[in-house]
Amino acid sequence: MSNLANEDVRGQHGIKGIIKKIFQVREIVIFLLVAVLIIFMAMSNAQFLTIANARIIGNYMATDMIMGAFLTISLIAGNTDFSIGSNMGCSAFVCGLMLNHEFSIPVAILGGLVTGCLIGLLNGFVVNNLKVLPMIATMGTWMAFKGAGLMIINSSTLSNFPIEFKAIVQDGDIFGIPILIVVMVIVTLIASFLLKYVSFFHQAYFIGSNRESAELSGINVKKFVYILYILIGLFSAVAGVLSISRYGSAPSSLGQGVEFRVISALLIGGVSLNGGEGSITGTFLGILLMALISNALTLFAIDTNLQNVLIGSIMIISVAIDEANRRRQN
Amino acid sequence: MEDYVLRLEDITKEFPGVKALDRMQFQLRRGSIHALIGENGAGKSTLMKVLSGVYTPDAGKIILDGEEIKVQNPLDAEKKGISIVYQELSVFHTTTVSENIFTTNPPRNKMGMIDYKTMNLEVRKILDSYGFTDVDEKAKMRSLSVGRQQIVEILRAVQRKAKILILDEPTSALTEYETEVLMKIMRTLNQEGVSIIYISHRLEEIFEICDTVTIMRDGCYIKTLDVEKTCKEELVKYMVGRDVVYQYGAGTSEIKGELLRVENLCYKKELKNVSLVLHRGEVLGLAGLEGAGRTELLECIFGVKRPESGHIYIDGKEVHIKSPVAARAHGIAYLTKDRKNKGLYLRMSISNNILANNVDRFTKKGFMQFAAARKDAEEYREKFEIKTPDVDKKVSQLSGGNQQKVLLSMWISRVPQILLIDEPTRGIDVGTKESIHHLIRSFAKEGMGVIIVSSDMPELIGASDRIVAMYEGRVSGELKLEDINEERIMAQTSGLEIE
Repeated sequence: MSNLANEDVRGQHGIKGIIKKIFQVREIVIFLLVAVLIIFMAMSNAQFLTIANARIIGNYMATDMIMGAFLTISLIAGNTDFSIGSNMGCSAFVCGLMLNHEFSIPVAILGGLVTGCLIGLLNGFVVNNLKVLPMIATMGTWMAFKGAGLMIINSSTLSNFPIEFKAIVQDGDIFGIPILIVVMVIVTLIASFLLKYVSFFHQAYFIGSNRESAELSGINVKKFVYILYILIGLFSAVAGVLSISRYGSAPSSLGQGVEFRVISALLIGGVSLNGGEGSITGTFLGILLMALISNALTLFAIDTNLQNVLIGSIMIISVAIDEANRRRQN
Repeated sequence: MEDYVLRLEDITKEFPGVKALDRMQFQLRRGSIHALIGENGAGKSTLMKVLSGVYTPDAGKIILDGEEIKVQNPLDAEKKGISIVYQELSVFHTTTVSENIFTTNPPRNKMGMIDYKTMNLEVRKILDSYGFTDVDEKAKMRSLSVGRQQIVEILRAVQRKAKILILDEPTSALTEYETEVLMKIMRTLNQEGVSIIYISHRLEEIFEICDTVTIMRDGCYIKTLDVEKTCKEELVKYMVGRDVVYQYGAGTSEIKGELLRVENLCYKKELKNVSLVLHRGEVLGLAGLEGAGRTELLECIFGVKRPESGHIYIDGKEVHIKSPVAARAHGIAYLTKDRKNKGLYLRMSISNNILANNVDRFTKKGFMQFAAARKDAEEYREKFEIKTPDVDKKVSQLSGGNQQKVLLSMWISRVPQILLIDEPTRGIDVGTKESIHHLIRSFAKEGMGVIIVSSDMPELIGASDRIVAMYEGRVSGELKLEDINEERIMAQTSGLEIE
């Protein structure tokens, strides 16, 4: 029986039926929340609808989204990654140290990105070959690389990067759009396209839905896990390198706490920790919602710690709605 | 010219301690619908998993279209034209019907992108052509009934245009209508030249659709027959045909008055008006195929599942058992067939396992009485001959037979009056099997009433004072000690002989 038929049987018509349907698609719920917030802010604060503010919001979202895109695909397949924050820091520190040791800018950037990929490769190895659960494996690497990162920079702040390096993000723009936002949009679009239209990435849904069946139908799950962890590593490094170019320095706290923020945004956006569900659109909306809340609190000069209270609550409520939907369907 | 699309020669597959397949033969004629039958555990599913590349055989040849092949993995099997629908549902609940049908080979456009439009159209065509106009190709799989999901899974194999299609007991989850549709699908495919291997417990289906039937038993090839030239009775005879007889003391205890009475128990589609009586001192055997409702019946009596209607009486008084805790209070003990996951605490010691099931008995003023539990454990170690140096050993380190004895101790130390055991000796060696059955008989002699569920027919016959047969959720027959024989049980459990 189809979804539609099911609802006809229960006789849900009119507004009640529509509302019920809306609550079944997470992207729509979050989209409505985002829309309400935007309308409210636009009416109550003159600074909100300005280009400068749009840039602030965009830049705030960018690194989270760059990391969150491929993490979404991996999490749909059931493999989480907590090491992204440490990876972001560690890769950025490698890049910064190389710059300070007078490597050329492209080589230093490459150094950072390779670091990210290697950390991803290690995650893949631990999960695939040592059979450690993804959550534990990546919590291990999260901690290890947090320490390793701080060791290589002696817990200090790296600075004095070449002007040309800082200019990449600080001055770079395409048609007036800051480079950070451009990268975010490109990564989002590519990930979204890959997940939907390219078989290799679309397999995420099958693996997450029923791993054993996926293996029985001939999907190479190990290969998928490796490649996704490497890609997550790569984009964590991209986020790290872009961040230090933007700030012009690499503070020792770089990347700390990012992993929980990004994973919460994913959960808000409809990715299920049980696997098999989620979309890049949902992730984007989740991260946008977080950025808007932070922005609103700043504009109203409210204690920004309230942001965490709100995000935590929204996460619990949205997952609870999902569980309620699931119970009803079964 | 080679008449056979597939030949299996001397396929042997051993698992630690069990020879699952022993020089098995099988020949599939081109364009045939060939049934493969045998009792539970005869090795049918193992054979099919060898064919689909899940298992690698230890010895033997697979000859496809006259050429010897090696099947590396399931994808390789697909590429060679062998598709299989497994007994256990293997669908992807969070994705759409279309995606479930085109899992690994979605239609793509020139750029290599998945072409959803074509995919949905193709699936629509397939669904319509088999009369499933009400199934929405874009609906999430989990919104479909189990039967429909099974059909979708079969259509997945259809879509792949396999040369050989293997159906491993596909009808267990289907309604009558869906079964009819499945038969239609099979006939259509067959006309298109697909050869089919059909595994089923339902003998009527075999006579309806198959042309050839191969019987296997204990991993060995027994016989291949033309369906037209045989009858159900002959098939049953070949499936059973065993001469091993076990003596577990059936009929040696004094059977007294009524202890437990179940009347018209109903639970979903799994139990339909089940009634039975258990006496003090009696070992009652429950016979039936996988999915006949035996486990569900035990679970209803023990309060794991709540029956929708019906009555349960203990000592003539009606009881309402709402949970396992309540069942325990009524003196019922239940040993599940999944002893590792649902019975024992594998990582804890023997003595702590006994403690865990008797916390109420070993608590004084809120404090655990570890020493008392340990003493109890020592006592059972001796009485049940549990082979271990001491009772502090982790249960996971014991053999299957000794684990089962620990599970028995956990429950017997509560001195129950009714003992329910699901598959008491699954995966246990012959020697320990015997000692477990002697224990069970000794409980009966002390006046306990015991219900045993077993798929191992000789075991059931050797242990039971009376046998109740179940078929598709119903009680399909009852045999007194003097009437018990394998062929009658087989007939009753496959729905051929209904009282």
